[in-house]
Amino acid sequence: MSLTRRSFIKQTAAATAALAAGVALPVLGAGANKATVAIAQADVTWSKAPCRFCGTGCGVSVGVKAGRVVATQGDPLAEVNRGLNSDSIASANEGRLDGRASEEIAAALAIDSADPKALALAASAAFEAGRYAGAIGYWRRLLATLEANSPIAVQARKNIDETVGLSAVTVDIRLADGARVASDAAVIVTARTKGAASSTGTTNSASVVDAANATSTLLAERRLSASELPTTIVLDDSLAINPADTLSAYPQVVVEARIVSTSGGDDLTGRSDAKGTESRRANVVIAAPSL
Amino acid sequence: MSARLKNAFTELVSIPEAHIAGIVVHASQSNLEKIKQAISLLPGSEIHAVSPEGKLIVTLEARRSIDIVDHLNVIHALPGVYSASLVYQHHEDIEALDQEIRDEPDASKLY
Repeated sequence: MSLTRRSFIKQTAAATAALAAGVALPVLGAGANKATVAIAQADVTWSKAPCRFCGTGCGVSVGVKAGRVVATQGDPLAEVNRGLNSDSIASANEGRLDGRASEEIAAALAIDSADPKALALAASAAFEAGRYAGAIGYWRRLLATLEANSPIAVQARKNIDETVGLSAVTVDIRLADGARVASDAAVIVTARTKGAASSTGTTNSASVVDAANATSTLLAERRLSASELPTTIVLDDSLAINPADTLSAYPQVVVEARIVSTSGGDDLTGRSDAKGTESRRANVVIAAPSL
Repeated sequence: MSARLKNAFTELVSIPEAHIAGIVVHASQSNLEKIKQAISLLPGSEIHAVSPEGKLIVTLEARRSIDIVDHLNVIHALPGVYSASLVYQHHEDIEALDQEIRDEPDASKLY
């Protein structure tokens, strides 16, 4: 093994400068880690061991030469600190979790789908990318691995609430001029995925509405009384019928308000599109029945 | 200055020294390739890392501190270099520096 004081001090100089600049040194880059290269080339066998400093149990590779420990380094294949690797990659990358950090997180989750660190990072990555439903999903999975009152669980619940709020749709509902309904009539407000047939726009024909509904998925449903109109309500993930189909999962939704006729006539409906990923609004006008 | 002190200084100056410096160079991205080339031409320089935003991690090696300063000034004067800052500086006897770091046969005392 030929590691001189010179190369050691040079490494220290480079590492200190890199730290000051916030630049990550390549692990086996040109001269950046001559010690590792030297050790790799020498007659050293690498074995696995857990780090014993804290309770996490990060994987450490231990280099043994002639029965003696000569080197240690973090194990890039250990499931526990794989997540931590991505944390450091992200820190080196100005806190962005896309790119290589994302690959590390995916790999960590493939090894252990309940790894809390990887789940937390995956949730943050999904949130950053605007994939709110994905982020909520990861945070829920993270919650399942934690004690209910731990600080991380409290934070995760807060994040879920915030994300549900961000992806919610605020709906203004009112009756068109001339539309008359009994004050005790029921109003059903639904949000659906944007199906192919629904692009035809506002319609009163029940058959067309049904056709549109057939190709779209119901994301949220809420019942009101006609006496509450006009009103503003918020539809969010908590109103989802099926946990897999939530408002946060679809950027384009169609909001429909329907007054169910008790006298056997056509239902009165109004619909509106809500687009975007956050602070979506829809303005629904329930039209008078066509005569 | 006493004669003894003078002798001590003369002796000190005659001992060959090695200086190692770690510096951060912030350069414009458009000139990065040329700057990298220019820095690598300096004797005793080595580029360890280059960040996407144009920061270079460079080590300089020289026999005298004035050479380190000169190299730093040369890098600073390159067109497209915003700044070259000295972050780490080390110097010692050249003989001590080329010693090999040996395996510790009994590291148990460390624990």
